[in-house]
Amino acid sequence: MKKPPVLITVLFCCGIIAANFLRINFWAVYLAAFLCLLFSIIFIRQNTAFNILILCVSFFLGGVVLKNSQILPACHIARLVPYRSDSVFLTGVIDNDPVYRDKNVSFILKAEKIGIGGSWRKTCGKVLVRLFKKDTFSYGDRLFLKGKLYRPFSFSKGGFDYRNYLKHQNIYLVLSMGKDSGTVKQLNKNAGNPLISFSFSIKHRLREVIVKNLSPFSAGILNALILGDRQDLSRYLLDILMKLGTIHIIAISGFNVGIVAFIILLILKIIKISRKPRYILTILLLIIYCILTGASAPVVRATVMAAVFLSAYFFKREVDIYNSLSVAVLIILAVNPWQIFEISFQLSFLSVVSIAWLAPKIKSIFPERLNKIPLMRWLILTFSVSSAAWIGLMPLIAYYFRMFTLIAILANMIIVPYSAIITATGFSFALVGILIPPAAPIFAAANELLVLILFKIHSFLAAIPGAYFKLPEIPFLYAWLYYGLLISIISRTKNS
Amino acid sequence: MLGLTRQERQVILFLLTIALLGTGVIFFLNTHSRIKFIPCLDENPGRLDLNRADKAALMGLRGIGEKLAQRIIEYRQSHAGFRRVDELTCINGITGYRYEKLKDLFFVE
Repeated sequence: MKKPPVLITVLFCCGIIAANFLRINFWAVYLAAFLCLLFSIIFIRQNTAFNILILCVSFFLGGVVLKNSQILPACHIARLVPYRSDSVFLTGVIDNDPVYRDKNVSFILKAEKIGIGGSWRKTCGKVLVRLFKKDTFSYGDRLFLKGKLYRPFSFSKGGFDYRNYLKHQNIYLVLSMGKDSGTVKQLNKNAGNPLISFSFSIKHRLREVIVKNLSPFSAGILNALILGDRQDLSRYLLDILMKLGTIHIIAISGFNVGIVAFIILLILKIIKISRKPRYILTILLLIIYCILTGASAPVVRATVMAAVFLSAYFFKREVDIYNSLSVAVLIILAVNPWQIFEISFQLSFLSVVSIAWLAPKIKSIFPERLNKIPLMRWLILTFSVSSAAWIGLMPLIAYYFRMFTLIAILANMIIVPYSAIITATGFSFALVGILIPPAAPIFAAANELLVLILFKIHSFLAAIPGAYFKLPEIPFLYAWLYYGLLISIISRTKNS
Repeated sequence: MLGLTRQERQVILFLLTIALLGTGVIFFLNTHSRIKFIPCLDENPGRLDLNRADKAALMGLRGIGEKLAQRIIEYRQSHAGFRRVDELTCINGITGYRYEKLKDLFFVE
């Protein structure tokens, strides 16, 4: 099968990376893209010329998209307050589901108006608001705030830089307000998108059921596994998950989206909804699930891929995993090209590519007769997937987290299938809690036990001597060398 | 290399043209945007004008429900509008404590 979207996407990504490192004028890149596009229209009948030109357009378009995102309009709040301000007045709408911690609440505010130096101006852009107050807020609340704006601090750890992390989400300013300083007033409610409000209301219902029926420890894990809320997880557990290389189970990803899609399809099949409406409904519900979990890059990637897979039925086309992955990359990067520099984006896409590319090759190492035994087939499959992900992600994990986890293959072989069971039971429990509240405690008790076993497995694996090693700082060049070597070895094996 | 059919080529060209045009328009709008000043309607921004706020705006404030919003509007209609914010205390349901909470949220022109 030919893979035109893959080549186009790769060139588009290269264009974004090149534009980030090279100081080129927007119009120069735009003109190059425009000329290539013009010539590709002229040479539409000539195969080679058209192909080369269309790839050039993709490359320059990647550059254009990034350069465009670097230019902020004159009314952007980051241009009105370049570094730090005295007390300003700000009105805007809450743009995400506020995160509550012990003593503070934080949310992203879509700024609308700003009052500086006695005059009010229309503005745009996002501000991270952190309030050390006991108030409750929700998505879509229009607020009036009085406080000081400042640029986020640029503290970094490994390859992670907090200021860049916020910049990649188009956030350039922070408004932090103490208990006794500043003013917050709610002007009105429901000023946000109705679909997002609806998704968050479902999320709150699900979270309510989980928190009400489970112990705080189990509720924290289930909230992370199902809803993507990680603020209630203990530091100790996060540390173990990191050391074992299984932290991906608590980050909503393709794995969780796949299970949710499976449950939705199963329920719709049981209630005898025919195939076409079932697929359409599943895609819609997955979009709602994507929104309620925060629409991070891995979830958007998984949702787009699931939508491509399901819609392939309507178009009567064979689905290729690389093509659907490329479509997901293009959609995410077209909206926000800075995502390509984010760890979650890189890990998410690289894990899928590694599994799709390496797992079949690892699986083929084992004799065919072993694949005929069901248990062995399952073991080979989990080993292939786990080791493919490990091989593919090892240099990135070593670079970003400075850790080398030997136990990751074994841990993932055990924990991934097990957490799939917990995700499925947890999701069923949350749904039962909403639909049949009296039955919730029974499901809750089962979940409590499953979560406890998950924790015990993790503790046991982490206690194995030599399970992981701390590494010194590694240059990113080593990661590139590793991937170059890996590709050449696999290609050579394929040829031989 | 790409193995595209004629129709696929046309679709890709169409999408790329739209994308390029769209980014050009966004760039133009971003670089040619101007700061718009808004006249300051009151001395303390963020407050609601008691004589202009509708029921929904009143209900959007913390501490004001549907009934109280209705009473405020009825008072406004029966007394030809508010002259001072402290007239709120004349409304049934607004006690001294509640008035203290609400007084900073309103102004009267």
